[in-house]
Amino acid sequence: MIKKIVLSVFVAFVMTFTIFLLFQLTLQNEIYSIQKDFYSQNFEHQSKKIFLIGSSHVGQINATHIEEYVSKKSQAYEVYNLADTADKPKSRLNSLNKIISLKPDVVVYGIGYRDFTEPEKMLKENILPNPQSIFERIFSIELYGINTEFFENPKLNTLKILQGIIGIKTLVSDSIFEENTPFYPYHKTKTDIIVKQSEIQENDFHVEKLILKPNIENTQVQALNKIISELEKNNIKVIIFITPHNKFYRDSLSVDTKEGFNLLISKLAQNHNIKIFNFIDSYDNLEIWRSTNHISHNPKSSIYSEDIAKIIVEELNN
Amino acid sequence: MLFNTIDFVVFFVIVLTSITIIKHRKFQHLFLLSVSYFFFYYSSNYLIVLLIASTILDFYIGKEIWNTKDITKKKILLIASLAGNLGLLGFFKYADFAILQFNFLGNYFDLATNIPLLNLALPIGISFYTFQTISYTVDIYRGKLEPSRSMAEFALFVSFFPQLVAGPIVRASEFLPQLREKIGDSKIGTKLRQITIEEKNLKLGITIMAFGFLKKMFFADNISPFVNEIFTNPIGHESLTIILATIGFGIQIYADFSGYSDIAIGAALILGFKLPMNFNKPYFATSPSDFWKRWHISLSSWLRDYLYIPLGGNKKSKNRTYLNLMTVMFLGGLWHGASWNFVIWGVLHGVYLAIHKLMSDRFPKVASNSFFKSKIGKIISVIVMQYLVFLAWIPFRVSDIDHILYSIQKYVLFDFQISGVMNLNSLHKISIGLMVIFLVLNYVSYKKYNLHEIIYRLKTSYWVLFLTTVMVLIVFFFDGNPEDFIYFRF
Repeated sequence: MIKKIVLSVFVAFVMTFTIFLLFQLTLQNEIYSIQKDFYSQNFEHQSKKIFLIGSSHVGQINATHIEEYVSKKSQAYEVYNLADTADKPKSRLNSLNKIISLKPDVVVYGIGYRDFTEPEKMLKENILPNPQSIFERIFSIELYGINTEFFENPKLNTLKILQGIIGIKTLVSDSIFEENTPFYPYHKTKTDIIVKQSEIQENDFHVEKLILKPNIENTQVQALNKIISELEKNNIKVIIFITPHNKFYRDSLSVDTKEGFNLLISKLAQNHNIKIFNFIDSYDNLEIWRSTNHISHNPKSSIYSEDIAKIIVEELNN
Repeated sequence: MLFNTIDFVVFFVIVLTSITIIKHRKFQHLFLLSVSYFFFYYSSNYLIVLLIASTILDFYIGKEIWNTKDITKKKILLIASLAGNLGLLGFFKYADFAILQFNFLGNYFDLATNIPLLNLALPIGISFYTFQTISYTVDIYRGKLEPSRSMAEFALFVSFFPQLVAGPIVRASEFLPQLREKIGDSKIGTKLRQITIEEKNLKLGITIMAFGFLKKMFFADNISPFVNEIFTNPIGHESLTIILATIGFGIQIYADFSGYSDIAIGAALILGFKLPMNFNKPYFATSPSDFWKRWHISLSSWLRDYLYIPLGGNKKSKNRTYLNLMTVMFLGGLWHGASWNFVIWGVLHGVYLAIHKLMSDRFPKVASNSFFKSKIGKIISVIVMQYLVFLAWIPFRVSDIDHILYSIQKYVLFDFQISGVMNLNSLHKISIGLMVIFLVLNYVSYKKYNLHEIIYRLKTSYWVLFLTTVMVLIVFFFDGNPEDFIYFRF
C-alpha cells in the first residue's frame, strides 16, 4: 500500500512536469513572439542603429531621450533599448546572432556585479563549509547543458499564455512595452522614486550575498568576451559601461567580490582594448532610486539616460 | 533550509528512504537527530553552536531541578535556565534594537550617546527553540514533567527539523513520549519507538504538506507583489486600495504561516510524529479571545501557560487582569521582532482583549445575549472582529510611522474614491483573483471542517489528480525565486 502511495506521488510529479514541458515547448513561439517580432522586422537599410543591451539595470534608460540627444550632438540614429529582466551575458549570447543580423552600428552594453555572480542568501559569513553551495553545484541543471530559459520565470510565461488565451492585455502587470524598448516591460512601480535610504533597503529585504567566481571559472565572463569579439568581428562598435548601484548594495558586498569584479573589468578593457565607463557610484546622493540597484524609470531620473547619451556621443566622435 | 526549495524535497526524500532502510531503533533516532542538525546547519552554518548550547544547558538544568529537593536551589536553577535562554534570545535578537533606543534617548537628552550597532546575524528559529526549552525546564520545575532520559532524546525534541525553524512550538510533554514505545492506550514504555512510515500517516502527511505548499507558493507568494506595491509607499492611495492591500496582507501572512505549519505537521506525521495544530480558521473568530484560540495556537497557549498565568491571569483583581492581558500581548508582539511595529501590533491586540474582557465583565448580559449566538449575530461578530484584526496587520506590515498613520487613517476613514483601485485592479488581476479564491476556499474549509481528511479519503486516482493540480498550480505560478517564509524572520 505504501508503494502505491509513493507511486501515486511519482505519477503526479511526472504528470505535472510533462504538462509543464509540453506547455512551455508548444507555446514557446507564443511566449517569445514579442522578441521574434522585433528581430523579424525590416529595418530601413539607410538608418543607423544603436542597441542598448543588458539587464534590468539598463532597462530604465530612456531610448527616446538618447536618440534625441545623439541625433542633436552627432548624427541621426535610431536607438533601441533591448534590455531584458535578469539578463546575463550567457543568456544574451543566445540572441547575439539575431542582434548582429539587424546590423546595428553601435552596441552599448551595461554590466554590473550580478552579471558575473551567483546569489547566495542567508548568512553574511559562513565560517564552516557551506553545504548549500555544494548542493547548488551538483544540482545546477545549467551545468549539464540543459536550456533553463523556461525554468527561470514560469509564472511570467504562464501569464503570457493566459493573456493570449483570455485576451486581456493587462493580465501580465508588467506588460506595457514601449516600441523602442521591446523586451523590458514597464509599469507604474518602476516609476516610483524611493527617497528614504531605509525604504530602499527595506524594499530589497533579501539583499543577496554575491559570490564572484575567479575569472577562469566564470562562464559569464567567457560569454561576455565572446559577445564583444563577435560584435567587433562584424564591425559593430562596442561601448561598455558599469551600471549604477546604490551605496547600500555596494556596502553589502564582500571586499573579495568587489575586488574580483574590478579585476574582471580591467582584464576585459585590456583584452579588447576598450574604455569601460564606470557609473557604479555616480548617483549616490541623488533621489532617483527605486531599489538598491535600480534607478527609477521616472522623468526625474533622466540624468542616467543623459550620461549614457553623453558617452555614446563621446565614443562616436572619437 | 527552506521548505519551498528543491533542496528540501531532495533532503526529505533521502531522510525517508534512509529511515526506512535503518532498522535499529537507536540508530534511527540518532539519524533523525543528525539530519535535524544538518537541516539547521544548512542555512545557519556556525550558528548551530547556539542551538547545541541551549540544548546542553537545559538538559542538565532540567535534570538538576528534578533531582534536587531544595526549593531555593530549584528556583536558582530555573532562573539560570531562563537567564541563559532569554539572554541568548535577547542578545542576538534585541541587542541592536536596545542600542538604537539607547542612542535615541541619549541624543534626545543631549548626552551624545553613539554606541555602534553590533550587526549580529539573527539565528534562524531562535525564538521558537528557546521557547521550547524554556517550557521544558518550567514544566520540570512545576513537577508536571519528568526530565528527558537521554541527551539525544532531548536534543531531538529541541531540534526536530520539521518544526525547528518556525514552529509549531512543541511542548516536551507532547513530544518526548512520542519517542518511546506505547504500551496500551496511555502508558509509555521504556523502549525507543521504532520509526516506521505507516500508510495512513504517509498519505495524510503528503496531503497536509500539499495544502501547505499550495498556501505558501501559490497563494501567499502570488498575492505578495500586490501587497508590496501598495505598502512600499502607501501615501496617495485611496481607502479602498489600502483596505484591499490590508486584506491581501492578512491573507498572505495566514497562507504563508499556516502553509509552513501544514508542511511541518505533514512532514512530522509521515515520520510518525504528531505536532499540535497551529491554526484553526482564525478569520472566523468572533471575539479577540476566540481569535487567539485560533491564530498561532502554539504561541498563544505558550504565552498563556508561561506568562499570563504566572502573572496572575484572571485570578487577581479585574484591573490586574486587563494589565496582564496587555503585558502578555506587548511581549508577544515583541517576540515577533525587534521593532516598534510588532510592539504596536501586540499592544493593539492587548487592547482588543482587555476591552473585550472589560465589556464581558461589565455587561455580562450583553455578552450572553441570544443575538450573538444567532447566525446573523455571529456573522456581524466575525466581520467586526476581522475588521479589527486586519487593522492591526497594518503596523505589522508597514514599517515607516508616517506610512502606518496614513494607512490607518485611510482604513478607518473611508474616502469614497475608487478611480485608483480600478487601475490597480487591472494591473493586479492575478493577485486580487487569488485573494477572492482564497477567501472562498477558506469558507469551504470552514464549512467542511476537516478538508485534509476528506482529500485523504479520496480514491487513489482522485488523490493523484489532487496532487497533480496542486503541483501544476505551484509550478506554473512560480516566479523563479523561492520566497522566504515570513515567520523565518522571527
